[in-house]
Amino acid sequence: MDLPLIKIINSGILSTIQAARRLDFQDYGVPRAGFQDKISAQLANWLVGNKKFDSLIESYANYFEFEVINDCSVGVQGACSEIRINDRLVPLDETHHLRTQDRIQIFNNTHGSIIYIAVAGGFSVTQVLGSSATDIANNLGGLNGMPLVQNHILQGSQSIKEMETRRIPKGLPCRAYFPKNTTVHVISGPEASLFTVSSLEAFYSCAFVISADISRVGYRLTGPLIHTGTHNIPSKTTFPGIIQIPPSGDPIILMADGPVTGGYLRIGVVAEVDQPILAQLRPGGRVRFLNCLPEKARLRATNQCRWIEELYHKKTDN
Amino acid sequence: MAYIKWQYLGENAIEISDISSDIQFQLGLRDYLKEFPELGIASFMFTNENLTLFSEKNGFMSIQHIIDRVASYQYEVDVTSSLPLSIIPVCYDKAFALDYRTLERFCKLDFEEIITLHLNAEYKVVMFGFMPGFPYLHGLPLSLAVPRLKSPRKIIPKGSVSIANEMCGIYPNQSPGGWNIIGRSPLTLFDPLKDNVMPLKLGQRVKFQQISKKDFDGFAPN
Repeated sequence: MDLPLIKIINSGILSTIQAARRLDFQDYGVPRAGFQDKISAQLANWLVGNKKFDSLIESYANYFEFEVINDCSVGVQGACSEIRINDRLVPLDETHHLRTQDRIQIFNNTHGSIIYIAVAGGFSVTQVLGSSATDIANNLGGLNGMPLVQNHILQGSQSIKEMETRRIPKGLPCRAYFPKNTTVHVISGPEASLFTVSSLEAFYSCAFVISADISRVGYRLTGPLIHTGTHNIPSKTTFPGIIQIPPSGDPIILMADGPVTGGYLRIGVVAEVDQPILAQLRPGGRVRFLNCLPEKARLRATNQCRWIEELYHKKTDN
Repeated sequence: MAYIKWQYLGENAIEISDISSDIQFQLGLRDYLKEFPELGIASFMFTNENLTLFSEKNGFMSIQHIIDRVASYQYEVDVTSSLPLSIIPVCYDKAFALDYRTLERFCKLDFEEIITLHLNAEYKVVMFGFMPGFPYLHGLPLSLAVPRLKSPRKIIPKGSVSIANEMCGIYPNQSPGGWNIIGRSPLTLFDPLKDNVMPLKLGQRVKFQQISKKDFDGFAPN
């Protein structure tokens, strides 16, 4: 049975319920949505014994606050630098067992953009088109397709019985995911050959700055302008990670809510393994692009998944 | 088919380009490839003359095998499998046809003549894109091919029937957009909470049927 678990006091810039991507309706025009930083999201879910893709809160925030309505266990990961329960500092990387009327404040003032808050048993939200991930632009999933705001109450099915406390083992590269600047691997896109040699050279050798224009749909970058003779093409397939060059010459990287088709030139695709790091960059942060073969990108993805897989397996074996 | 043109689209997808723009051909190719689950193809996306293949979690088995299969596909027109004709009611009232003047100017025709041409044509759903449930319809008479607006509108009402270049489209929900609006349909084309999420399907034939403003206002939701 569902119980009201928490009440939002302060939801920051943008908070939504996210979960596994919505993959089965792309050919009907429905974007994927889902986690921007799946590493942090999966770690938050692990802390409370959930499955990797259970629904949780994703928040672009410097500050997030909520009140507990019914006892629950919570895991916080991502770009959080300080957690306080009833004004008392608590460790970042472990499960928190919360009681009715507890107040939790999450601060994010040192690194990264996105915080994840998971509750044991997951939040109860309706699945729409096979996923409970929120797609704000199209009003799908989550809490009626809407962002979370103050006074929203989130339900869960958790029984009051306390779960074990989990701690993220020392030595895992969790904190490596929030650098100020980074280099991401890019696989050449189908229209790369339409760019001039000097444009491609600039694209792969210069640093681009994350502009203030970032959303779950896309991050707009500024830097050297990338020019080409052709500006628009008939609509072609797009998805998260695709780097488009619009006529302005400033690259746009499509993020989790990116549309399924687009008419801008696709200069490249960010390797999946680097998408979480990219998502966590803050406006003003710099990104460089390193050309990479698809085979190498796949290999790196396998290696990244390995420690997450091991973490999950260790506990389910118990 | 001899030479297959394809490119990587990230490490988990490939795009086969310059195939037939006939959606029946493309759907046939998809169904054919689905007969070979060992290829590791999880899903498909159709965009004009391109077919995008997304890999399963563990990747494609071998791209060469996929390309060989694509090359060995024999297209056979199967008339029995063509989807039924779907009739879309549309009201061409000038209050709805936001761009009728632009259309008249470009086509050098009266709006009445434009309506007749639009109604007489038979269309086919060749892709969905831009937003959930937005159908791209082939079959627009060339005399009605009008380029997109120079600057897009911030708000286009739900149901707006629209034209851009050689395509006709319908906005399933309110949205910004740059297509020329010719009329409005009272049909709901995308409802995620229904079993039949979208009444239109890929490959479906479509005709428009004119309704009056009065019929539009009194239209019972589908």
